[in-house]
Amino acid sequence: MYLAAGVVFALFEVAGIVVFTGGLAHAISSVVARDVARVPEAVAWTVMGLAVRALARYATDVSAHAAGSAVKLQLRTEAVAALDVRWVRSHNSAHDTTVLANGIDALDDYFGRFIPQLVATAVVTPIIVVAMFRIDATSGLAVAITLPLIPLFMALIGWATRTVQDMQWHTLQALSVSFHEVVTGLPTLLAFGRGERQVVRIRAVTDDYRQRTMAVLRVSFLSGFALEIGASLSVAIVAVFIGLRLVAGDMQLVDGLWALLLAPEAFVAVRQVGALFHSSAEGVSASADVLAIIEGTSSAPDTTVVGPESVESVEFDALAVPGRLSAQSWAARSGTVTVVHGPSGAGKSTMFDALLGFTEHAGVVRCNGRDVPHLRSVGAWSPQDAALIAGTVEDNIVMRVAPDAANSPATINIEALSLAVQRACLDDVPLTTVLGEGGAGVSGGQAQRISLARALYRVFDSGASVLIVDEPTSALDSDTEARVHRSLRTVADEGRIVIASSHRGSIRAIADQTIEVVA
Amino acid sequence: MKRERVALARHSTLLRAALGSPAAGFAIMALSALAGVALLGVSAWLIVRASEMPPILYLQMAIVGVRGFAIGKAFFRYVGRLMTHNSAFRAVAEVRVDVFQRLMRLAPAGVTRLRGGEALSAIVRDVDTLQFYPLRVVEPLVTASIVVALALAGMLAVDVAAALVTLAIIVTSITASIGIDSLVAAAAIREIAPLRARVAAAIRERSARLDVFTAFGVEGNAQHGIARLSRLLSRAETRRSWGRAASATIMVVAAGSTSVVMVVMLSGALVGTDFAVGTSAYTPAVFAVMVLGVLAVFDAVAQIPVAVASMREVRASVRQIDELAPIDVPAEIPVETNDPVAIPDQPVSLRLDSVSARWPGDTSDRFDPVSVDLAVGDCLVITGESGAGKSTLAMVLARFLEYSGRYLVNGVEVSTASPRRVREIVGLCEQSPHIFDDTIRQNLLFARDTATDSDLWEVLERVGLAEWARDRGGLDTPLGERGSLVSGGEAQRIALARVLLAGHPIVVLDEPTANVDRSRADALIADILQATSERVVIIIAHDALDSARITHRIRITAR
Repeated sequence: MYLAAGVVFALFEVAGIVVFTGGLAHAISSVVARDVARVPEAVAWTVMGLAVRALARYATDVSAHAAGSAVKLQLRTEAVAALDVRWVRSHNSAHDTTVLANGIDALDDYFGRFIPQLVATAVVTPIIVVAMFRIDATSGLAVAITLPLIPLFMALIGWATRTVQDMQWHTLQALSVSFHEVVTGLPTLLAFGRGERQVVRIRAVTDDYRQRTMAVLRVSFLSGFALEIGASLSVAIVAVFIGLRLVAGDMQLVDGLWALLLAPEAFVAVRQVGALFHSSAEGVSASADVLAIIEGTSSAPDTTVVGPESVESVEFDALAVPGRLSAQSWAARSGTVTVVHGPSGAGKSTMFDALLGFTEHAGVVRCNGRDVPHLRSVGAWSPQDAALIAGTVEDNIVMRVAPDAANSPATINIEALSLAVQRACLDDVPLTTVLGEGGAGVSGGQAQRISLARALYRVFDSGASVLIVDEPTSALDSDTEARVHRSLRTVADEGRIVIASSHRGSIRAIADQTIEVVA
Repeated sequence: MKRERVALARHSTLLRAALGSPAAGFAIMALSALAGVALLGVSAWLIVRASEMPPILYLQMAIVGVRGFAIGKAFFRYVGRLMTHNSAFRAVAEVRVDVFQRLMRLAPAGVTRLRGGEALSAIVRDVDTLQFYPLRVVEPLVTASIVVALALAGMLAVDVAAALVTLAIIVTSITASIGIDSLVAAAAIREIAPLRARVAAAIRERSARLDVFTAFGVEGNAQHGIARLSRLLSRAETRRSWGRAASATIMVVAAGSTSVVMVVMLSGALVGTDFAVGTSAYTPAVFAVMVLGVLAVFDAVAQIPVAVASMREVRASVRQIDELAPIDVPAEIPVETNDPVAIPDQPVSLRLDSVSARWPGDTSDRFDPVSVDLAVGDCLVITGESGAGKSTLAMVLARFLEYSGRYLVNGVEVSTASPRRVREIVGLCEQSPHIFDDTIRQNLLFARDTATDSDLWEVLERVGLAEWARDRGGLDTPLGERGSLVSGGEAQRIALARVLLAGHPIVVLDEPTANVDRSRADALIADILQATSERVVIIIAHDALDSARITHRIRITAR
């Protein structure tokens, strides 16, 4: 649709150009011939051509941008939807952000300007050449011969720089990833007096980027040079030819002026395609990465709904993750606390990932005797690293993500919230405290209890009956730890299944069974 | 608004300094634009003069000139673009370093609120936007000014009225073009930079928290949130395009109109003149040059509103950089002093006298003042409830946070010394140490880059990681982004290994055993205490530790 509109606007634009230049040529030649009576008519044509040209230009710009914007929006939405847990766990997230945020914005030039300009040029240029032939065959011929040389040069040079440009985009990404790393690791670097060294490194990396970019530009600009010189030389040739024939009396002044004014217009559009080709090259490389994300994953959207049924038992049969978790077979009944015990790195977190379907695993998970892919729909989970989000503490507990999204829960279950806060011993953090990205702004122990409160809220609000907590007390002092343990016991005694991992011995006091995980 | 201008001035000063002599590049770009005007002007003169059928000899100069200007236009443009780009990239490297240094002054206490995705977006993207400043702001303005000045000077020699009218049209059209752009586009641009940052932050958060979002069934919300922000961004960009298109259209209209006005104005004067006399400045050829020349002049003039619009984008980026990394450091964060007191290497001691501290934005100190006096061989254990302020005290000890009371290292009040020097003596092992996306070797080496492999193996042995490292494939084993390939306990041990390797005479360990299993925790503490027997050791813990080496204990209570 945008393309059709682009073609129509381009037709209007070329009509405007031909009328405007023709009007101006007639006006000048009439004045030179001292034929004043004909000037007003010529001026009227000029003004009309100008008006059509300007309106067409405006319409082209606006519709081109709308096209680019629509494509960008769609690609970003699709790529975001395509990212699933398993992809994210196996890729560098700074890289994804660069691709999905900046990479997609780099498509602006490609879809919003390059493609529309290409369409416009395909319409405008042939019409102008034909018009020139009608006015003056020699000038038309001169332009018709030089014009095809330009795309040829461009293609050759573009082909030669293609791989360099891909490299360029990947260097930019490496630059971005390494910056992010340096910024997030800044406290550690400063503690070891290594901040200043990063300045040298940043300078070196950026300078390397500059040199690579300049190497690309020396060649890229060469194609710009070819375009420029092709365009300006053919204008010069047309002017000289016309001049010589005028001297010889073989030609009318008005035709000469008209052809002279049209000649640069034939090249303007081609030049713009050339210029935009290079500025949009980054976007082309970026779009390859975006498409890789969209095509690299093939997950159906997971619509986890908490099941209404209460879970009497869960059972794991030969649950294993090659290389990370040796086979586990055990079962848990409602009303019990199961403690998963083992040294750091033995695979406690991996086992929880398997229970929740975040990693490929062997073996079977059963819920009330039935085989299920994972326990997501009946489970509430508090991960080891708390995994808080930007927003208030309350947002974190009720998982109010993107509050104005259409399907966001409108109301909070106040009762469940206060119970969750109480059971998680979260009495030292106001619920209105605002956290930064990644939960910045609270201590490690506070983050842990917010994460626990979040899992408990899901238990009390949605009736999830399997509570899975990974190292819930590793950052807590012994008094708070004891209170949290009592809470977990109570949650189990109320008829739920609690599965907790801990490397500490103290949690055994509330355990009905202990599972040892060994590396 | 004024602050913003100061900040921008600071950046442009920086840019100018880094540009070295951008004047050469700008001058060459202007030559290219002038050659473009001359090409059209001389062509017009040639054709109109030719139509009067003079002897061909009179046209030779113009024929040569037309070709020369055609080549010159392309050649100057190529050279000029390379020169201006090179100096712009150079400048931007300096700005990037400057921004990083600002962050360095603030971290870690001043950047706790710094959002990861936003920082990424700000530092990489906004700094890149600043390279537009010389390329898309300064250069077009310089070129257009030179072209307009010379063209008007030429016109003045022929016809004062025509020159004045042309100037009036140029000024009016630029004003209208910029006016429309600032009414429609500027408002949109103010929204675009923060919206882009929010989209990046939202995508980043979703990537980092996708497991939790999925487990809690709110994955769809996160996706909707990103889609909604993307739509807002898209709408802002569309509004910007309306403004941009209108602004560009005005310049197209102005260029054509000037030619029309020239025809109308000059035709009367020309027709009244007696061509045959030939002494008048008015000849038909000059008339054609003036009518068509202004078209070429407008090629340069049309760049002015575009440059002003780019200026606005540069400004938005500068504003965002200043928000994330303000030039002014909050009073709670120590900065390097001009004339620091030197701290002697010996004798090693640490003394706290009624020390407490607050974070930027706090209105009162966080914990009840603490006092202690430590010498070589001493071991202090600091305990306290979660949130009592133990990590705050660790920040003070590592000189990341200002304090009240007195804090002496090796007998010198640290507020009078260089914070960097203090950190050479006091080493901090953070509660959540940063693991770099690199190998084990690189993650240790940065603590002491002269360490040999056998030093590294020795220290890995001491923190109980040697076997683990051997199993994983030795020192070249990658640890993953943010240490994703290591568990919490292993990350702590790597951090411990760094502190031991760096050899600080005073070592602060912030909850070193939080993620290490109990059976190994006691052994680890014993190892730490043994390995640091010649040093001052401060261990922050939420549990009371037991060891004969512990000489001092403090319990921190929140205020």
